[in-house]
Amino acid sequence: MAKSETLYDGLEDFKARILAVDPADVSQVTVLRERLGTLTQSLEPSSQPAHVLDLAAQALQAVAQPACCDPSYLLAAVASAATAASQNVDEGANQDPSALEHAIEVLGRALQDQEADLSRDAQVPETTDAPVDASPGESQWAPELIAEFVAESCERLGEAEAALLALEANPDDVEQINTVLRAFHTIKGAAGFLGLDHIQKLSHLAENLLARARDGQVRLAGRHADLALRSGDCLKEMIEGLLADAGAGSSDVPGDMQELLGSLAEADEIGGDAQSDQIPAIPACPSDNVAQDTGPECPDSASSRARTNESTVRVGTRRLDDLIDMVGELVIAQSIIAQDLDISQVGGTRLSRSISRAGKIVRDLQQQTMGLRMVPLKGTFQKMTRLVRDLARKSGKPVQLVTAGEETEIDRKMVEALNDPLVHMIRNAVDHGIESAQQRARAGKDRTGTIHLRAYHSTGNVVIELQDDGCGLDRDRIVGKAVKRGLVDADNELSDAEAYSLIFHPGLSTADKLTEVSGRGVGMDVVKRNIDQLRGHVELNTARGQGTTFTLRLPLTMAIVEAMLVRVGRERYMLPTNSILRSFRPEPGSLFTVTGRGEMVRLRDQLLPVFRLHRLFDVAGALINPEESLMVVIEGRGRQCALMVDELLGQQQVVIKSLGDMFSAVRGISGGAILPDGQVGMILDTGGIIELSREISEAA
Amino acid sequence: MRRVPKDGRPVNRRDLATTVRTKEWAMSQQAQTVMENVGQQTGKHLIFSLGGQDYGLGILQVREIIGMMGITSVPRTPEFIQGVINLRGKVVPVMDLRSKFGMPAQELTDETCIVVACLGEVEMGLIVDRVSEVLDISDEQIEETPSFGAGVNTEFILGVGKTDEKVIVLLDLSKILSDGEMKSLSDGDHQQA
Repeated sequence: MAKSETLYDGLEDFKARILAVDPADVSQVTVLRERLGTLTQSLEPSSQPAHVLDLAAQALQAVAQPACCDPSYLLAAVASAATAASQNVDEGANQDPSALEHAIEVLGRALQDQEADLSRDAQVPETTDAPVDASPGESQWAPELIAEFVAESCERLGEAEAALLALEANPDDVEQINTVLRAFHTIKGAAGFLGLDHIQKLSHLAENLLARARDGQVRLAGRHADLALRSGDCLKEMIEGLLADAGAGSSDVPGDMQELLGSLAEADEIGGDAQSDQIPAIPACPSDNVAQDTGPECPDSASSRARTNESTVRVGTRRLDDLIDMVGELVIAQSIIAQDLDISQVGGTRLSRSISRAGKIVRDLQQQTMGLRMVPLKGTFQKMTRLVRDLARKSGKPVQLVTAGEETEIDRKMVEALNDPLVHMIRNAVDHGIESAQQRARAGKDRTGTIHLRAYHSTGNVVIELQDDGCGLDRDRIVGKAVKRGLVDADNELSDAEAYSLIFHPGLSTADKLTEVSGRGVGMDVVKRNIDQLRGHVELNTARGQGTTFTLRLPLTMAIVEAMLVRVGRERYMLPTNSILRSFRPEPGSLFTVTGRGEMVRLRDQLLPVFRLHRLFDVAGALINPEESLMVVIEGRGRQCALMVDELLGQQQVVIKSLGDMFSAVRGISGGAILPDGQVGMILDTGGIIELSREISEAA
Repeated sequence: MRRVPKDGRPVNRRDLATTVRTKEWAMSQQAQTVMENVGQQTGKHLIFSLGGQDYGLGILQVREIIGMMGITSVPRTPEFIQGVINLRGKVVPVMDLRSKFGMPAQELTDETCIVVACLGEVEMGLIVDRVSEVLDISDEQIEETPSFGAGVNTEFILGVGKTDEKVIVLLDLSKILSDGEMKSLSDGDHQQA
């Protein structure tokens, strides 16, 4: 009963607010509409009270329209609907449906009047302030409204997809079915209101399918699960398309929609006992060239929001970055005050205590703001679950993906950049790793292959593990191929780690046959390059016949880098510590000049090329004699060299700043950072430096 | 001549005045008075001098004026790119206009300052000898750039404004920040010492 009580309280509260709301305040109306949405969710879908609240939400949406002529009439209708619904909830079983029916009638009439008003207005030539496009129909709505619809629908579809995937394991989970049902239902309602006929039609049919599933008439497995998933995809495509051609007024209907509609209608008619015939391949994801910078992005990550019931605010990344910039400056300003000589001369424990207290707050503030960019990996993992499902169907191997640690948070930019490498590795795992069911049975393994995808924090890094229980890597074949391609010498004794790391070499693919799924010759080298760009590491562990584990170790954020500050002449540069192997002062006699130009230094039994940073960057006043200076051994794009600098000044975490488009092509520099004294420092790109130095020494 | 930049962002006088900040070198009193005279009209120009000649930049293209501050040089860029500064947490490139216009370098003075100009999204600091005043220059006062023959590069000049006592060279910010120039940054064929 506790549930209905909170629902009752919620509705009563809502009613009170509706009576107090100022119809001209769009944001307030929107907040109320969202509340109503939350309340509707706790009702049974497709029940009568839910229907009333749906209509009420539509009415509120109409109120938020700039063109709304009589908002107080609509608001009164909404208030009476809320009263009816709360009474209904309160009375429980011995309810009187007439109040609800009356509310539905009132709301329906109010909405109809409103629409009639709108269409009459549309015919009046004079346009007031709303930007009305030439074409009627979809574009009559304010872009914000469409954007909001898109954001909300994407979120719902994300939840629906997760639920559908969960349903595959357990097709009778009514709770999950209801989640999907709610998603389609909400989209149907909103699309109907916005006049998006195609979307409404498709979501309506999809809802029917789900309703039948809920009633036990069909099982959401195999063919029907496919249909539901594809409907979700198709809806998502259409809805995202709204943003792309917002204002253009044209709505592209994806090619497979007609066919989908047909299948859905058919499923509707013949019910669940129909034999599944040939299912067309799941259409590849269409172009995702939706401009998403300013508009609300499809929030995979935000899908956790509805569950935790925390209210959220969408903020543009630009504003977030500005905030982080300002806080960075605050930290610098604070440390300048803390180290001020005048203040330390004044002395006084009270002052110094106040300053250090302010310092602590400022540092906390910095941590908090940096945390704002973090999002959980949940969305990414969810996509991978879908990917594995689709790949498994295509390749005909039973494979399941088990995820753990999806709540692990990582910088949102990293989330985007991680997608491609993960997709690649999972494709590899399904295509090359997992054996066919027969092979697995012969090897005494479970017929279903299992891929584990785990994420966790470890020593300031995010670790992502991808483990399959497939056949493992074939050392001999990798080495054999590498020898054939001339990557290694045949008589070279390779350690296991060296041999396996050959798969990261460009152009080495171990697939026996090219399949549609993977094996186009571009493989792990792309993954390695992507992970390198994220300043991460890939490790690989494999056991013949037992499977392969890839471990990605990534920094928490791309925004901060651990760097070694080095001095050359009067300039200071930062070297990312993950590309520094060691530093040493060359012993007398360990330096060589090869054929009169290339300088080399011997470190134990290794010979390294020496590149002088002062020469490369044309810095005056640097140390010229290598024996007085320091050598920093750096690694980049698979090569190593000794970089000659004057001095190491210490290691610190710095916030990376883009130098802007203007300097994007400057080689050897990957970005800038604000040093503790407030000056800008350059972050060196070790790979770029090595390439540049080689070119220069070859040209010399 | 009324030029309204594309983004048309109104510059509000108080904003400009409060964003004037000094560092290391105290900003000249004059520059401060200049900022207080900034009006709303697009015909207003910020006048600054370089090697004795007055130059003007449309006031809507000027974001703020700051005193000279520590500039970090960016390796392998043309000489006129002085480097980058930290402008309240943002990294902003700084160009030495003397060097850009082929004038000899000069010792820094108390009056040397950085005019932060903006063109759409692009911000750029311009080092000038001295900021003198804000002048209203009407269309009638502006003449086309006279031809000086092949020896003088008039590429960055929008026109010449004449007032009672002086001649002001009006600069074309978009040309100064133009793509062609910027590309040369990335060429990297920059002579080694």
